[in-house]
Amino acid sequence: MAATPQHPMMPATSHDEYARTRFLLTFKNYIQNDLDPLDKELVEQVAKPGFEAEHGRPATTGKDVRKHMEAEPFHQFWLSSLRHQQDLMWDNVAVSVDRQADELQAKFKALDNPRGSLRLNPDMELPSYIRSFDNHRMPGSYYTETDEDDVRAGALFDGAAALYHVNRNGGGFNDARGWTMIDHIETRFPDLGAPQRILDMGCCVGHSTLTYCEKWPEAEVHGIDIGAPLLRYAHARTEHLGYAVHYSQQNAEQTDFPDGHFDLIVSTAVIHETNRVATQRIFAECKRLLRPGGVMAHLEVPVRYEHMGVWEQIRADWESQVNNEPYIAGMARLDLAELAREAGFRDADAGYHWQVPGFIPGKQGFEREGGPDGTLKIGSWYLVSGQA
Amino acid sequence: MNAANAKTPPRDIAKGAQPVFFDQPATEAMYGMLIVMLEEICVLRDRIDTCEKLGEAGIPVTTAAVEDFEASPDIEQEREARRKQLIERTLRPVRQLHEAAVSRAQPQYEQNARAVAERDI
Repeated sequence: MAATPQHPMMPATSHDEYARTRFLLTFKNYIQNDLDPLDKELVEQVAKPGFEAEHGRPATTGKDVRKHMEAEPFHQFWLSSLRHQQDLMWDNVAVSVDRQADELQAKFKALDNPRGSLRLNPDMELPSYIRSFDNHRMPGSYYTETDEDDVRAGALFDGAAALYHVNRNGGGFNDARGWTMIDHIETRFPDLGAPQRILDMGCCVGHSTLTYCEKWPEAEVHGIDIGAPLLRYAHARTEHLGYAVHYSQQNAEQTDFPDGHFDLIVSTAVIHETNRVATQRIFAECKRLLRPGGVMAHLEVPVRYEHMGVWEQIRADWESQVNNEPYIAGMARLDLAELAREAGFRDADAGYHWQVPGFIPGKQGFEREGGPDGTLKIGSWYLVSGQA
Repeated sequence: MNAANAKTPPRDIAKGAQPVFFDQPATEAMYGMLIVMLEEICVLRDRIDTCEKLGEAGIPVTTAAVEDFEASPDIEQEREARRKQLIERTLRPVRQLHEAAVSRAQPQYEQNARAVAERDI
């Protein structure tokens, strides 16, 4: 059975392509449900005692036990399993996307009378944190163009998100982060009212962007990203789904919008793909672009070193060191609320917001504390927000 | 397609970390290759299953019929269980590495092993 695409831009899967996605989902679940607990046991029973015997003090960080863990053949397989499943995911989707590249491109070219718009800037310089490596091991990253009017990177990203994050990020539309963002804004800033102009920074293929259109149908919604093929795909996907978004190719650190132009500026899982200096510049740009009283909110992966146990730190380190997301380790140690205050935001706060629609029964709303016993708060996102 | 609109071949290897976790780079490569093979075995197994189901329903087995086949939730569940079992069996030696490490870390392990060995002899 081939998975049914939920909109015309979604790459279709043949019998065997679908079977590949099913295998990889089983393998991913096997790593998470069966191998992760064994790896954690190895930290507790082998690496921690090993570290303590050598240093005369208990291990408290992932870094402490790293040497002991990396010497363990089981841990080597665990690390390598995570890496190869990630590489295979992109490869599986790429095979499928490349088979239908011409059709997808034709659907982009066939758009007429768009509700929204697309503004590309071929002269935009890619920031070093994007250009230096391919984030989350996606070959070609967000920006590589293989053809004129190329949509490949967008199709690759959307295909992977729909097929592999099935139950985690809101199904084929991959929009749970957008709905969580909306819930966060309504919880923290009930007086904001319906925003008239919204900017989604690092909007990618528009997964979250469209939730803002759905929630605030009267609003003028803008999305910016650095990748042209992502934006072409986002534009086509948005138009085919019947929404209006104005997409433009811009760096969130410095945009061409006028001062005080927006009521709400958001990003979802973007900050960790920048760096420390860029985070400060993005917060400053948000301050410039927001009208007084406007709201900035950035949603991030729920990873905080001050809250995580030793094994959880090792797991987060993998994302940073292997999955080409090097700034996760830095960002997840930064006081993001303090950075927002420094940028001039009032009522700045940071914490975990349980995902909407929820998949952990009884878990909802905004909390500052980490998970019990240093466990990750799976089913939540980490948000920093403030008012201009 | 003509030369004027020839496409640039996309990269199939991500720029960035190419880590070697094992003692030998070849082991790292071999493990990656093994997972791809495992995936393709599962794909072939699902395809055979589709052919069998078509045959049972009296539908001629053609490429188009295979592509059009929609697996019921029961069939999906059977396939999922079979995949999981194959992964578990393939990675049993890996789980044994965990078992070996944890056992050796037990203070009594050597002593117990000797005691058992002596009794058995």
